[in-house]
Amino acid sequence: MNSRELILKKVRQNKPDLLPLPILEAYPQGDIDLTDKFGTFLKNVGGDIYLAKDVQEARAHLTQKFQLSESIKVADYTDTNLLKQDPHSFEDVFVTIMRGQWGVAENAAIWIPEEYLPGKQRVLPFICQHLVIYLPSDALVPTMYEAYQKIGTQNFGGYGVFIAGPSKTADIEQSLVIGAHGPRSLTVYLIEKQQL
Amino acid sequence: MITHAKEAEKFNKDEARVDWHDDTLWFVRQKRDRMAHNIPEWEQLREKASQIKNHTLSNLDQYLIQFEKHALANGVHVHWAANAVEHNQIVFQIIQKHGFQKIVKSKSMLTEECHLNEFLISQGIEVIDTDLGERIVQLRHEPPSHIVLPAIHLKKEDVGETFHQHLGTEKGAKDPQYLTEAARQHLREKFIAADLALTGVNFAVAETGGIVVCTNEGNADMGAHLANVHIACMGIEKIIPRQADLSVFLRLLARSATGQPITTYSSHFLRPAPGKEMHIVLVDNGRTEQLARADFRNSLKCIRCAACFNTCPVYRRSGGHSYHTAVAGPIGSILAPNIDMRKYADLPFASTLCGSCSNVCPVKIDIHDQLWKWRQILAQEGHTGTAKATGMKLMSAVLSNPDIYRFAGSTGRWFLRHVPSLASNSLNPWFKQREMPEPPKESFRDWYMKNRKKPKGE
Amino acid sequence: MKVGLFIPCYIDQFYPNVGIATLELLEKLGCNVAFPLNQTCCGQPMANSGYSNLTKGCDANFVSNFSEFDYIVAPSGSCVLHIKEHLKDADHPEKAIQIRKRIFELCEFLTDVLKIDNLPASFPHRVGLHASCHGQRGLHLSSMSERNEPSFSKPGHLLSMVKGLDLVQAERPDECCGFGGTFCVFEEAVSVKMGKDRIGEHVQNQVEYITGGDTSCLMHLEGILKRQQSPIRIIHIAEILNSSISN
Repeated sequence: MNSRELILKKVRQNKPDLLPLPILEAYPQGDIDLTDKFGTFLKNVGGDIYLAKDVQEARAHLTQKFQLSESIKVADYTDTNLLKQDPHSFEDVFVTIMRGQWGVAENAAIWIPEEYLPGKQRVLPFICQHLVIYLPSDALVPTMYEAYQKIGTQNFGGYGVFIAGPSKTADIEQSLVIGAHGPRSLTVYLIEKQQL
Repeated sequence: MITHAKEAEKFNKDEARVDWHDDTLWFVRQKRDRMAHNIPEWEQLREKASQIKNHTLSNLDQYLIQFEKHALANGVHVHWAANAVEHNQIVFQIIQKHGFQKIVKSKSMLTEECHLNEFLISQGIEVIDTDLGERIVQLRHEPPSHIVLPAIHLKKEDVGETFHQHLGTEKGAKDPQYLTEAARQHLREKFIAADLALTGVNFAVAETGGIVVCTNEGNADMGAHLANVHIACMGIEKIIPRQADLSVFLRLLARSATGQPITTYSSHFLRPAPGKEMHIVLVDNGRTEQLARADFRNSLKCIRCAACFNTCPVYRRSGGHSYHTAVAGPIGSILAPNIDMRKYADLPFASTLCGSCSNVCPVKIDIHDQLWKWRQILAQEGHTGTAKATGMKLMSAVLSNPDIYRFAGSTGRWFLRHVPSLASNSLNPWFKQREMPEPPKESFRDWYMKNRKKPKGE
Repeated sequence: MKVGLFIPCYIDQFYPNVGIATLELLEKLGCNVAFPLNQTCCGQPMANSGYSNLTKGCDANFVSNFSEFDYIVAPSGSCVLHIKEHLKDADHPEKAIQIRKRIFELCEFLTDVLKIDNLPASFPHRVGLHASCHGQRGLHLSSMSERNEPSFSKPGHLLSMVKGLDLVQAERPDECCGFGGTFCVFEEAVSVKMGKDRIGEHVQNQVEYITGGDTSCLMHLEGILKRQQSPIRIIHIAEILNSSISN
């Protein structure tokens, strides 16, 4: 008997009688301002948040914020050339700019399905020094329950990720340090008009 | 033989350090409390999570088959390992097939349980732990002392010295920001050079065949997205039925673990990226035996948040290494005896049964009740020592018979002389740092006989 | 109302004053109290050490002493919890079940059964309360800091009725003292450290007394206090609640 059969046989023998699978439910969050709550949590987890009326305004703002110039490498979701590149070539990306699909007010997590990754390159939100996410202001949901209702099961491609703030660690004496392996900052633009 | 009590006694030689360890972990517990108390549906979420896990365990074979089917359809290789040895062999064979030399790992308590690192290193493979805490203890050749905060037993001065020796940081440097930056640079090189990335699994979703890995540092993703091959290792109990169940677990996990509203990254791996390879290793290693133990099976609900560590007054004052097992703390104390009753017979006794662990558990494992139940089994199987067994029999004989009890009491407060010396005849451990109660002239019963006429029950 | 007074063995032997205070308090609150003379121990020391198979004698003795009563009351959360959770008697299973339902810790009896809302007690001192784990988490005598639940405390409520008493909350209101039955000797180092830390908070609060509902915790704390030659004294909650009634 191979290990697969052995394990399954032992599970079948040893498991208890079938118990019911509970129904998932929404928990009413009261009268909350989603933008306000999302923004508060984002700041708490080390992120920056700005409201922008459109992508152009956001782009202008971040160009100044990160002092972008020709010599600074930016990975932008509108750049179709990223698709075929070796992930290792992104080692020197300074800023990654991408869209987010849903934002969760209770924890400032932003859902990124695979197709939203610049060039579908999974490493880009991690390997860059700074991460920028454009999020439609009407894409906020109260809790993870609503987020997963929106996400569904099969439509996020081969990979999807919730991102809440910049990379961080507190492994040395519980002292919080921003910028562990991934981005040293996360900037979120809530885009007013649905231009994404 | 290593015992928790002996190791804890050593740990307590440096009281200032115990205070620091206790305060640091209590700080995490307080952050957890603030999070839990700010979610009005917290207790309902715990109940829901518990029910989902109970259901899953009751249908685990079907969910494993369903998970495998979907993972295979997603182009993921699925392997089954009955035990730690087989798990290590499977991983090694994948490495060998490709002729790989350099592995980066993100945190996986399962691979700690299987001692994978030692095995691969003995085969000449470079294995680099990339979680900062794990890397620190790896450089020091120590096991992690905590499943979420692996280096929580170390002070920044200790880390500074380790990094000075291994990474060339300045002598005496201890600023966490500076040390973390040094690790970032060091590990970036390792990520870029790695052939293969190994990660743990927080949740495996039966209905999609996908896995979810949670980190704050982003190390699992850095590794998995850069290397050509990704191996994810998981215990079979990590399965959950539906993707939407994640909404319950991700609301509970980080809040319970570190007091964050969610981990920075919750990565959902469904299919390998084009041109890449992904493997999942499903490991039993004693889990099916635990499933057979009706009193203990629900320990398999554990989602490894370590809230029970942080709240445990004994863990905080004895340190993770005193538990001499990969998973320490209260949950480790009910998991370990399943694997080796003799070796871990001490762990269910490393508790006052205060019950705080069961209260913080986000999946409602009755940890302190299971500690009590393990004690019964260990005593019956003869793993608690003959001195204790003899003492207990004597105590039982005295307390079962009112006449002997009164006689023993009146002839010099039997307890005073005998109960504390059960542990040691040469030295009374009670008296080492505590005074004995002053024996009163008369017992309550004596007083009652004198002061209340015709008492009932006579 | 027939109340059986259960005085745990170590209280009987070492702390008779706790038994006396409990008895007097219950009598003066109008209860018809009797102390069955052949009682010994609840069996917890054996059971918590892994030897619940050795508690049959204690169990049978407990059942034969206490099956007559409407209520059984004890000044010890720990022993009450043990009886509630573990009392068995193969010869009289129904009696054991009844006892498990009828047994109360003193504070919970005063609060939930007698529903006391005032006490003519007086204790003009600064007091710290030690919540025993078995009383708090086991019997739910007060809200638990880990849980998301409304705040309450049955012992705190009773102490608030005592004239002149200044109750000071410890920073960690429900951390274990480290007694833990045989844990106190088998894990001596951690046990004492836990006790010292509990005491440390009360010292910081400058209390004169540490009180609580479990004499076992108090005995452990008293042992450390005496070794430290601390002026802080230990007093069982029954003695405070009975203080001026008996004076």
